[in-house]
Amino acid sequence: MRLVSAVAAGDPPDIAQVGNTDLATLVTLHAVIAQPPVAPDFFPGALNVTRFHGKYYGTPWYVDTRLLFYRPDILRRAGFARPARTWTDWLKQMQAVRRVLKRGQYPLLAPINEYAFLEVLALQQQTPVLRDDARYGNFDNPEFRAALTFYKNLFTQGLAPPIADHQLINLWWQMARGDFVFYVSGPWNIGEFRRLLPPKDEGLWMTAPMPGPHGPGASLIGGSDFVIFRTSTRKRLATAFIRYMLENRQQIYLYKLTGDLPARRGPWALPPLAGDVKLRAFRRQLEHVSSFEAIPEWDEIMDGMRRAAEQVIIGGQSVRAATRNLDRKVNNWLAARRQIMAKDKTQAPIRSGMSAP
Amino acid sequence: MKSISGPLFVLPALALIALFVLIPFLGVLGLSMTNFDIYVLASSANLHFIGGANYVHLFHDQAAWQALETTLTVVLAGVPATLALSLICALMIESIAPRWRGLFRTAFFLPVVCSTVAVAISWRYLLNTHYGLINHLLVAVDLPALNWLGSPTLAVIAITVVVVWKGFGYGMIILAAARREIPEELYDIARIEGAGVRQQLLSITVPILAPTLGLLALLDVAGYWQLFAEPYVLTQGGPMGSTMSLLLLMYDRGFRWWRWGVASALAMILTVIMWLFVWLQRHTKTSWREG
Repeated sequence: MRLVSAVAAGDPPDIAQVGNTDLATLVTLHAVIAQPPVAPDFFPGALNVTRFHGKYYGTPWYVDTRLLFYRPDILRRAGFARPARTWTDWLKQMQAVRRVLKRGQYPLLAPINEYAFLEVLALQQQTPVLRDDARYGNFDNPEFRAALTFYKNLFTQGLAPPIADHQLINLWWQMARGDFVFYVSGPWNIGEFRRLLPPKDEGLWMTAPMPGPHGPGASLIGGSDFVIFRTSTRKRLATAFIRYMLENRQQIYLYKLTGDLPARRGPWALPPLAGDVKLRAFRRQLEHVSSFEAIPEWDEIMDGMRRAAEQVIIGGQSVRAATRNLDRKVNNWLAARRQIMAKDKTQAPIRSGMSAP
Repeated sequence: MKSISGPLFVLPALALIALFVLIPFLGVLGLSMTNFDIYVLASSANLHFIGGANYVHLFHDQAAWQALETTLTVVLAGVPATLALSLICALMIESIAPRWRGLFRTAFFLPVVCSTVAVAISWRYLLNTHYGLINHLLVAVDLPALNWLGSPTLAVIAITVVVVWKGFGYGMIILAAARREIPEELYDIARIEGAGVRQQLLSITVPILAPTLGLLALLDVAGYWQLFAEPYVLTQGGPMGSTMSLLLLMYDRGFRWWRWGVASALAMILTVIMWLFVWLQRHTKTSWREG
């Protein structure tokens, strides 16, 4: 990340737009200042990820979550009116859907080089994948093993092809052809589907909230936050700018330009967001999002989790062996964090608001 | 005055080398013996000298061994293949009618001047399992379609093919030029003495081109050890880390996971390996010439 280089060089900007893990990194570097929320109606999940040691270090600008994109017509053909709400029912749906598909078509697309889907499955469980203030890995627990087993079965039962996203030619066109019936993805794909498919194909795809292990499931919260750097000499101007950018008009304008979803509930009650049937699932899912600990090592840990899943799916390793291996690696990666925390807890970011409202 | 003019002339060059090669090299060497990571950037009080701990860590790191194996495979398979292809194409171009030379020379040299990223993306389409041209051709001749970038073994082969295809044109141009320098009289004499095409190749062309081939081998070895862009674009190091090269691993550790100490140790190891290879190459070349 260039911002880390800028901080290292002692020349960061006044304001920046950063993702959640990057925010944790900048908080670790003591590079950004705490700022109280500028509005009362942020999605709680979005605000929560900016909170470290009880203070908010970022202002959510736009939000992102993952849910189902699907083919309603094919689902109907397989005998279902709407997507399932639980893992078990979803699995049954996919097995039924497979029977109405041609050879080379799959009920689900889940690129094995992307970790978001597996992260969502893990997030839907009660037990976190790191323990003791994110000092140790905790992937080898029954719940994560259940999530990984569910994920593995999608591939071993032939419900999803074990391919990477760069092995796709044109996802949207392939989806319209019926190559895939379900796809777990983010809000940007609403815009992409509309841009890349002709208007007559608008009815070929729909969105729905994530199924969970025992009912409608949580999803992850991503997106982008504004931060103000400690070294900035124009902090008041910076705050005013952030306030301006979060007004309804600017949030809606951003949505129109890029398809990025507003982080405040306010703009959602106004057109064009309010009338868009494909955004409804996102609106509902955004009330039902959470996240794991944000720590600088998070991306590396998720990359490790993805590789562990690859070992299970392509390499034929057992789930048990893979989770044990992963914990060993994660413990290794967190060694520096443990040392720092043993010395001085405030040096390593801890998100205090995990279970707070 | 004359005695110091020589050193004075090389001084600017030496100063630049010191500034941009020697000092960074020593910096990386020093960094590789520290725990430099994101917490050190936060507070320099966290910086510790840890000696060879990063090297020991890499020695026990399975991913590092796999990256070494992958990179070594590409070097050992790619360098001879590139040299052979360069030589064959160079000799072919020099033996065909002059009016066609320009066309072939351009065609074979084109990949060298193309952007690696653009080329790799094109190959990604060619290698696609369902829609790729290569699998279409395989199926057309009744062979099974292959999951080129999805299988750990095939992905390494695919990367090697792309690297060789991208690189052989350079050697071809150099070798074609060197071939033109060989006096035709030598071949005339050989023919009069009754030497066949094979004998002419092995007794005249190859020995005379040997120094050029040696130079190209050196450049290719140095280049292929630094394999990065092709796996970065084609496979991102997957599947199962099978196409993770040493440089790609270094990039991940250093610039994605902020482990500059470990990444520097990897850089040092790569440097030592390349030195070793160059030394080995010079050594074998000399003994071959003497023998």
